[in-house]
Amino acid sequence: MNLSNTKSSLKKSLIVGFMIQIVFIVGVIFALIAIVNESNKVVETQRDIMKVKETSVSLMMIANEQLLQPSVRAYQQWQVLMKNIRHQIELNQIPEMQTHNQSMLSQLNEIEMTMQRVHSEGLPETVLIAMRPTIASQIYNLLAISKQLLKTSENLHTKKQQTLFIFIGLLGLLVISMPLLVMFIIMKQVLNPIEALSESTEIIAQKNFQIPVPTSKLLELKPLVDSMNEMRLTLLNEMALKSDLVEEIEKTTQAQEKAQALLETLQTNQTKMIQMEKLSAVGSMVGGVAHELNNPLMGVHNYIEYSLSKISEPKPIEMLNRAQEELERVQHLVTNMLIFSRAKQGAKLNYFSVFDLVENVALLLIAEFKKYAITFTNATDQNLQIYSNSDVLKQVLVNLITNARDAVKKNPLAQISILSEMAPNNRVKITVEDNGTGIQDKDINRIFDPFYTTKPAGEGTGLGLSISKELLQQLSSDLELDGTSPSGSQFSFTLPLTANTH
Amino acid sequence: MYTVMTIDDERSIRDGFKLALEDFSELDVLEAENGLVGVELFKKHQPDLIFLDLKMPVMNGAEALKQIRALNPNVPIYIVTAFAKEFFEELQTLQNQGLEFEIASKPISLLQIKQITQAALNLHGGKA
Repeated sequence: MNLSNTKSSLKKSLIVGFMIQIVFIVGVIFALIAIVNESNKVVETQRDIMKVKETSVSLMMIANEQLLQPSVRAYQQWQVLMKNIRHQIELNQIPEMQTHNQSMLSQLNEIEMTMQRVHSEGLPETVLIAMRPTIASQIYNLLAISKQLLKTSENLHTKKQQTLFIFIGLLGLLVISMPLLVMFIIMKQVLNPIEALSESTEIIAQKNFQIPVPTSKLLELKPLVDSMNEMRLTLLNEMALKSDLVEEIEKTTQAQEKAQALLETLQTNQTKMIQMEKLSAVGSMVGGVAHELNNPLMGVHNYIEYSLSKISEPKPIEMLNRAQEELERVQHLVTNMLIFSRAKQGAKLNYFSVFDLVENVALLLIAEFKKYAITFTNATDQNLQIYSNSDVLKQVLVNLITNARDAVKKNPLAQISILSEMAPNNRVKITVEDNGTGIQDKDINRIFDPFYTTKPAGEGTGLGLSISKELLQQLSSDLELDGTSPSGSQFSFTLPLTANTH
Repeated sequence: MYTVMTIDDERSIRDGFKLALEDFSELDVLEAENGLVGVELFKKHQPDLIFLDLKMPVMNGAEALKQIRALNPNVPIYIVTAFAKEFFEELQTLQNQGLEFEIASKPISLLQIKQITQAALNLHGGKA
């Protein structure tokens, strides 16, 4: 059986298996037939031996008769019997019985010789009588030998039958073992490769396409293994493609994210640049116009002021006062415009006291505080020196306090406070706080835009906060809205305490 | 008697100073429409207080300041200027050159002119 061969076909194996089985079975059947034949021979021999026995009895009776009254007829009868018995003995060819046959034949010869003497010499009756026991014993011997032969043949028969049974058992065993053999072949040839294949499919199912499906010992499975390997390679390629694709997608996504971030930065920068450009363009234009307006406006203001001091009629005084108020609004705008254009300049830095700065600003605005009954508090640290530009800060504080004034002026308990507190990085935080009306949500994102104002037409320029923010940025600081609510707002910025932290 | 000089190319500005100070009986007000005229008038009249504009034709305020300071280091000179970039820088330059001056920021009202003048010349009363 070709079980150990590297490659074999199940069909071939089964055919070979069947053939070997059939050869065995045929062999056993032949053996059986031979044994049955042998057995039959033994049975026939037994019959012959039985005849020998019977003939021996007849021989004894004739011998007895011859001895009593010899006659030719009896002698002839005797000779025929002898011939028969001899023939019967010679028929027995079974090797195991030949010794007995020989002794039987020699016994018969002795008997014959005795009988010839009796017949030919015409011995007296007394002698004949005396010979009777001799012949009788010789015939008894013959009988005994035939008995032994029978026994031997019976033994032989039993032996043959035992052999027969063994062979029948062998045949049965072969017949029964046939399905077992087939099962064994199938198991060895089919189940094992299928199990191996199954293992391979499990491996493939776990998405491990690297391990090849081992070549099967079973020829019939070869196409399956081949197509599985083909499938595995296809999957491997697709996996590779897929992972390439995934990588590609990841790369693309990353690139996209980067691009998005870049775009956002660009957009922010662009917005900033537009803002700056706007400010810059507006700045230079505004600056030029404001310059030209500043002097004539001041002249007109002073002419009116003079005229006011010279007349006494109430109506013209009121009208001139109104004219002056209007004019002051225009002057305020022009001043802011000039500051705005000045915001581009570099400011010189030095050490000065925050408290003093706030006091100076308060002096400038004291008339306003009185007019609207505003309580102004300078709550900054009196010992605090900062390193900055006082002119710029003055302008920032004026702008912030002016805005605060506009927010609180309808409040009967109007308050504006300037606070200082220490901030990280060796800086001080200045906060301008008011208890005014606050900034509305819709305006919060636009308060730092130039020319954006919520005040009635003519009352605000919309430049105050944008200028202040710009000025502070010039000082490496920034203006921030710390908080706002209907009960007040807080604007703050930080300033360095020393030159080296700037 | 004191003499105050206003040097400005704008008539309305000069008028402002004249009108503001006309109530002070002890003051004479001189007008100059540019730096050159101002320097000439300074040499002639030796004014006690000068209001000086920066941006002027013929001779600007900075040059006038230098020339007047060369003649008289002590006379109080107020540079009348708006908060504007170029002026701010110019003022810094002048300061760095060791030239002494005060600043009066534009716009300036008649009242402020009177107050500055009173303070500078140590005047009392007048009809302010």
